[in-house]
Amino acid sequence: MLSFIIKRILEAIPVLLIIITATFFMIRLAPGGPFDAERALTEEAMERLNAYYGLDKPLFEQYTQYLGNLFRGDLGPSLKYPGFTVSEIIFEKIPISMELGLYAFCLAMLFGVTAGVCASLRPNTWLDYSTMSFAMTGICLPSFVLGPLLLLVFALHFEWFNASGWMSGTDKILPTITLAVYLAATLARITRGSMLEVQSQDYMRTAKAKGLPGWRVHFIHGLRNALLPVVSISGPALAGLISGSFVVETVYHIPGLGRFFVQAAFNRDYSMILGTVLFFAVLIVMFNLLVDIVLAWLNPRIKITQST
Amino acid sequence: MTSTFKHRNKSLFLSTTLTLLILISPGCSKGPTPVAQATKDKILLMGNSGDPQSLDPHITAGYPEKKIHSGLFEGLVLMHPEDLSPIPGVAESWDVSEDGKTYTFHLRKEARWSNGAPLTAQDFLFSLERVLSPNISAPYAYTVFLLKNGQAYHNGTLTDFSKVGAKALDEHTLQLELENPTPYFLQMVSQHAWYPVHKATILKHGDPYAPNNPWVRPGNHVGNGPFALKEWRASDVIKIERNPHYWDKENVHLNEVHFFPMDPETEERAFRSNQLHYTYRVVEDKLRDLFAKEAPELVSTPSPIFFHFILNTQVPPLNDKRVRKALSLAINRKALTARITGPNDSPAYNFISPVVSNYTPAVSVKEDIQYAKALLAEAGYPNGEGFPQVELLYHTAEINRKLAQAIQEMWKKNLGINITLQNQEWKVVLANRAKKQFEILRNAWLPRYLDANASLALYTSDSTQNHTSWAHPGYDALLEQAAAANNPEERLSHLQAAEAILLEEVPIIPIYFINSNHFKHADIKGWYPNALDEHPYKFIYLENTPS
Repeated sequence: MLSFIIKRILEAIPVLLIIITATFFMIRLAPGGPFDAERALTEEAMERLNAYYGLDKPLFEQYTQYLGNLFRGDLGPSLKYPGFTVSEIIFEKIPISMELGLYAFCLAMLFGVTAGVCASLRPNTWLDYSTMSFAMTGICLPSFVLGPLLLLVFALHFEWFNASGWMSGTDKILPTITLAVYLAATLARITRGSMLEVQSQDYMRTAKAKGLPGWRVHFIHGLRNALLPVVSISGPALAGLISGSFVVETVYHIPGLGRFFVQAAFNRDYSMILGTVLFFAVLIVMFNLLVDIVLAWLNPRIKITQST
Repeated sequence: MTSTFKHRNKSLFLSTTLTLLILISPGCSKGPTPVAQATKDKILLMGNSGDPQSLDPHITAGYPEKKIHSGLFEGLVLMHPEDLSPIPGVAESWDVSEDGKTYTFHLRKEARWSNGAPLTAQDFLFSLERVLSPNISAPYAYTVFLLKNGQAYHNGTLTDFSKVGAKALDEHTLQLELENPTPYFLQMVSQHAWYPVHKATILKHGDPYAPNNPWVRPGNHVGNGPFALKEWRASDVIKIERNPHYWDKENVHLNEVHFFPMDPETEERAFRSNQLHYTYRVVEDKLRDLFAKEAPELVSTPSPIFFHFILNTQVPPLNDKRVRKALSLAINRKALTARITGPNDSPAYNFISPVVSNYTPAVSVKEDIQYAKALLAEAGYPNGEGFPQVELLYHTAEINRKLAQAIQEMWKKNLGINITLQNQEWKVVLANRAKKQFEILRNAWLPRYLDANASLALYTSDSTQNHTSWAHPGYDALLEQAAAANNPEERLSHLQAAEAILLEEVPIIPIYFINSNHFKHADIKGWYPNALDEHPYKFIYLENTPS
């Protein structure tokens, strides 16, 4: 197991290097710079700023310098927030995005898997149709529509919640739901399909023939195997929920990293863009690794050493 | 194995349920709204558009920054929010020489920094030297060029700061000598480039000219305003709290001000769910409905904000002033303000807003389609025939798109020319503007002081805000003469003549003057509508008002 983990981590290094390299050069291709503003600076002032941050050096030299600093664990200073470093902003914001992502993930798992199982137990009945219709609606409803809609009804009309912020416990309910709906709906569909597939397997027939109670057949024998595809997508999905909550964080004014991620691009805050991209890349690699370990634990037939 | 799995399933279920219960439980009790609580605690909750670039007043230019700086710092004078007249700030009084070129400010002896250190004339000298220094990239350094030799020091042609028109006669007397008599000088002195900064604090944290000196961080920051920095969480909130060393602390009614960087839609929702007392702005699309409903929460004040098009006068056919003039004359501005913009916005037939009370324009744009057609024909494009492809560039915003489409249609209908529309992200627009890669560009400008010079000075040949490539020696000379003029009438006539040149040459097309719009909670008192949208926090207090 340990050698597997080490091997995967070593494999991740070139992946991360490619991501960093591509991001570094792509953002520098984008027109506009970090110091462009409505009130235009004089050429001399602009040159001074570029020289101060080393942006006047040849691009390749900047790249090697960035990698050197990165190797020493230095993500550099933020260009948009003078006086602050990229690392401290990331570490200040990430707990909030993690919290939101985890809540949404738990909620999506709970409702998505339950709905999928319920639908699969009574296929082609009203229960199945209604659950899958809800799931389809959830998939089709983007968060920039659902978020303001929930706010309009529950925050502005009923006044049950605040419309923005991330302070009290209640502030976390609407964003969690908004973020969870898409994944819950996807999981419901995957679980249903997977459960139906599993139910036709021989070992399920054997379990039934042995006279095991129905719930045991479905939930212990069936669900465990049916969950394999669910677990496979849960790693990238969790990373996606943590990193991709830009819309939800903006709609609800949540000071998480997702919002920073996109704002950094709009601000042309080069070091911040690179820092957040790298952070999310590491997160995705880590979660994928975690998923592989969980999959092996769920299904002993998958041998970790062989699966790679 | 099965029992372990069963156990794990059960614990997963229990832990998830527990998480949800913890999440939901605080919602069961319903206390006062955030605004009601904040009013009680004397905390003003404000939407503030975006995060500030910095809390160093010398290196910032934006309006969200200005709103925070005016709590953290105080200049020699303030502008009274009722009539924008200068009132004492750090200076308790001032004398002006007969020629209007020398101002002697008598600083109050009780003035202190937020760390308790005394504030002296030397602090102002250090600050003026810093903001003018060629080593710091200060976007508003030009506002300090009013000082004698200020521009020379900034350009590096003069290296001895003692030759700049700023002297400390003693610890509490500051004498400022100007290049020219400047009627709007006291308005300028209240601007953030003129704010003092604390030398010892800045030096303690590093190079005083470094753009990322960490003195601006909470815990390090020192200012001299009615409030001191309490907390800054990027992209979340900036909190400023009462400064116990402020000279006029008895007249500060608020305990704290919280600034939330929010986009307009989010801040409107936050306002409507009683989380904000005041919004930074109002989405333009909603203004018509709000006016129709006579929404009491909307405050709309005429301002000098000026929406216009910049023309690149280097590229054909816009290098022909007849074409530029024809484009300007063929726009029906009244139709735009009647149907598209905010209903209180006013059409702009010249460059200086009517809110600038010491200026009356001598000439204005006279919309005339026939004359516009004739001009276009004279330039070689009768009925628009053969008119080359011209692009109108604007940054992504709904109001810009609507205006661009309407004007495109007007030009098509009135002149027979086809203009293409190009929508780009803000930073891309700025990059294209800097490289002069545009033909017609949407622009808006917020003058920081009420004087015709604030708008006209943008189009001199050496102005960094003149992106038109248009340079006119006569225009530059008139503005110089206006600056040097000794009496208001002479000055006015030079400014009017300069504006007439702009109208004749049309490097920019005036479109309309924008009102400043906010949502304001009824609990806010001591807030006065004014053209510059200046609302010093020490005038504001909060009082619970039943709705």
